[in-house]
Amino acid sequence: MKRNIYSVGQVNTYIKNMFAQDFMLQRICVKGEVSNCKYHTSGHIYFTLKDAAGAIGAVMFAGNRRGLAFRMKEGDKVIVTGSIEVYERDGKYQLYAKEIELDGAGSLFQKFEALKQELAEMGMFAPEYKQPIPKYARRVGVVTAPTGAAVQDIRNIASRRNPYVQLILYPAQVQGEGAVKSIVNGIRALDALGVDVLIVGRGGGSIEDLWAFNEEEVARAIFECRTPVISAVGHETDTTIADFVADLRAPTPSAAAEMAVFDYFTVKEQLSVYRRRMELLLRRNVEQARMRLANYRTKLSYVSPAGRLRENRSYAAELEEKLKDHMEKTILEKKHRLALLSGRLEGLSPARKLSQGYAWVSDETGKAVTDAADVTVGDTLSIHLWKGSLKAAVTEIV
Amino acid sequence: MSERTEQTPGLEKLFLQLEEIITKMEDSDISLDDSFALYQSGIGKLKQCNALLDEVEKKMLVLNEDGALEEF
Repeated sequence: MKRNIYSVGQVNTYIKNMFAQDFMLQRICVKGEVSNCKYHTSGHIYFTLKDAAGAIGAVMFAGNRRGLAFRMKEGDKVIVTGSIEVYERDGKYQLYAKEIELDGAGSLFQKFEALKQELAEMGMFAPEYKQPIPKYARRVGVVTAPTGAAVQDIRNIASRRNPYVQLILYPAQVQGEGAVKSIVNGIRALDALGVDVLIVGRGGGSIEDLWAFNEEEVARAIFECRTPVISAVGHETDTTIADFVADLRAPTPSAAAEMAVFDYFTVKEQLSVYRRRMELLLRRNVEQARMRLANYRTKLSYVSPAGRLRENRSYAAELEEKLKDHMEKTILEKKHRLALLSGRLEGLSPARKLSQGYAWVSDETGKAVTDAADVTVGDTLSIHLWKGSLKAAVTEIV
Repeated sequence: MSERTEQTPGLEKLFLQLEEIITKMEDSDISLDDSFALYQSGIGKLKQCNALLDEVEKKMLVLNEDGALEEF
């Protein structure tokens, strides 16, 4: 049997013609969700149109741009009018768009919104179920792809912040068929193994790439996980169901590592601050006690018996001194006065008058005679002179 | 294992206890005996903290299908 052998180009041309002759493919309206949308600098727009059942590559050439009235973006649900033709060079068929119009919200987006609302109503996002992320985790579990940027980012950040924290990776498949099961298994395995905190995530990608993190099974596994979970899916702007149900959402895998792994050097510094503070306080307290002791010693010496005795003794000595002073002064004064008085007394002495010829007269009883009326004629009187005495008889009373 | 972290107080708890010790030591009416006892207990807590930091560099481990851990 003779074989016909064709070149690749011939086959592609043949298929291209088949498409070209198909009336329906020449003008067709296709609805789907926009993904991998790229505005090329040439003015052409390349994108993928997809739904739950499949995907088709699409292009809108710069010359047809008037058929697009809005800025098309990822997740837009659109109706594309155009033709389906074969691109011979790649052997691919694609949709050549002439008009693109919006068709409400994209279906993946709708699915996302519906699940989000359902889980929210079940209370799976409720703050009271959120577990606190341990500040000083010793073992950090990671569920992500063993290849790719996410695991490297987490590893780098962790070893920079604290090389003494143990990272344990569950190498998961994070996109495509089987991703959901793989992520769920990873969460359960690490939860069972026992880690202090769990990072679940992946690097950036299209909404389809991240879709596993929007599945209910993954959300449930995170919700049921006894270990606190940090979600880290894609970039800052990507938000998945996993982010809502996780105990903490990190904008990126790097950020998740920052949240999960405490900084060793900060803790070391804190420990030395505590040490210095305690040493300082101890020294201060010892110093205070020493001062208090000195103070008590002074006070005690005042009230002790020895102290009292010493004080009394000195008081007694002081009194004795005063007394002595006082006595001496008094004696001197009295002596003085005596001298003065004896001088005056000498001047007043009657004996002294006798020496000048005065005499003292007494009667026979020795009583001084001062009045002539007390005497009668014939009485004997004694006359006492300066030297010696006389007996005289009264002869006349004058 | 996380059980280990639960049995002995973790860093967070130890830090709280250290703060408490320092607050007590700051009281100027504290007795010298209490002050020494607190200091001693604080130094003990610092030792526990350092032990928890466990300064042995860790290689990332991978959890296998059969549940075994090996180096990444």
